[in-house]
Amino acid sequence: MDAKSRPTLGMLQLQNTPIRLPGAISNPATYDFPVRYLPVPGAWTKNVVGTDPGVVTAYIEAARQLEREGVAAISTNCGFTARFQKDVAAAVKIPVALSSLSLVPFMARIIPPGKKLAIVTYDAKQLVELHFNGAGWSMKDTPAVIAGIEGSESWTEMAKPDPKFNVGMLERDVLAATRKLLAANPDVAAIVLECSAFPIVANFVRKEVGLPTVDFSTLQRFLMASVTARAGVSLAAAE
Amino acid sequence: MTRPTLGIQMLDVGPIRLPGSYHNPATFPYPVVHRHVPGARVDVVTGGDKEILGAYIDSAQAMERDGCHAIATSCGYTSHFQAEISAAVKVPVATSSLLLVPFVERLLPPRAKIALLTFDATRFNEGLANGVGWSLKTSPVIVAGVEGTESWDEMRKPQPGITHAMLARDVMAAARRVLDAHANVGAIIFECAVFPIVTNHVRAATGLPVFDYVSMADILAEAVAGPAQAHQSGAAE
Repeated sequence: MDAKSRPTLGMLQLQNTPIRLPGAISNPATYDFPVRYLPVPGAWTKNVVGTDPGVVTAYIEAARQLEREGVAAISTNCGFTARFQKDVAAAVKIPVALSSLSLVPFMARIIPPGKKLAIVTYDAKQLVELHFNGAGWSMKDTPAVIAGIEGSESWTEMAKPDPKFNVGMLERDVLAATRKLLAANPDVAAIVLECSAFPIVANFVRKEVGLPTVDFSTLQRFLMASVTARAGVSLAAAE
Repeated sequence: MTRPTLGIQMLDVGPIRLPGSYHNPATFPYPVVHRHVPGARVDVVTGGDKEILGAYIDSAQAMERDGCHAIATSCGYTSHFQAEISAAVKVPVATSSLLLVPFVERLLPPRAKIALLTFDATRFNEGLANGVGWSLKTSPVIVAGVEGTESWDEMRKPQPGITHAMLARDVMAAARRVLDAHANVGAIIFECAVFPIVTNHVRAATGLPVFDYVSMADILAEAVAGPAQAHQSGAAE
């Protein structure tokens, strides 16, 4: 690993076998920066999704390990880790962005006043105020509506230790949840995809529904852009 | 414009097209259109003159008609127009990099400070923060500006004669004032849309994460068009 020479994203991972389809955040080819993946001991979809506080210490320890190794910023591969945002950010000196839910306040501001933001998640029943607060906002003052893919084939697979996935399955399930939400809320003006698997189908969703859409990879690119030199621009003042 | 395009509302002054400039289309790995807002002179916009809002709204509506898929401005002091411009069009509107403050605040350790580097700190006020949803009273922001410097003088001219060296010197002087006075600065945000010219320089000189107008434009562009081949690839070392 050359974390010190080139800014590297440290990604704290679930123990579940990562999904590495094209566009997935656990597929290193998705990014033009290096990624150091580190599975977090004891972190599975089952206990990270939801509100079980037990696993936060393992995330903190893993984040510290990655910082010692020299990564430039820290993220995860599960948006429900938003509830650990404050604790992990407090434990290291480098910037930390655990969940695309962190994009919500920004996205809510750039749509017309009175319009709604849609959040499409892995499991709407388990995504609660604890996660929103971790990401820096509250349902009380941000007009967001939420739909999940709970009950779908993708949802069932993602809960397994070794998910068996294909793009078509995920496209179908994410689009179905999105369309249902939009039918009930015609005043939605933008979408935030919570789940770390959804960047695989973000372009598909964006084209199908025609709304501005951001996802977990948007957040991770933004995070890394803040610590990475842009190409073609001077580092030093050339006198 | 069939490809998703970001429309950038420009101040009514000559563009600065140095490498990395927000005014330079080559800075963006996606299509952008720059258009001047008539009458939006630096002193008018940074002075908080609400008279200019109508021109921004007309310009935003024209850009939307012409096919822009998202709109940004080129002056952070338009933040107090966020709700009005956004309400006038259907496409997403991000007036100001000040929109990034609450977001970036969350990425840092609790009690870490953000150095907010601006064109003119004497003109910076609570209304600018409130316009994009935060407050100077509660966000850990330290504001410093380049007022009084050669860069500041140039930016106020119809045809700014900015150089990279001049701007690097003046923005770094503002950054140093904040860093010398505060031990726990965790990130830098540039209010000024001219400062991205020296983002690499300031990041390298301070070792801190730097967020600017280009960072914000990247999110907007990705929201409407999907990921571009990012300009940070093959970073200049």
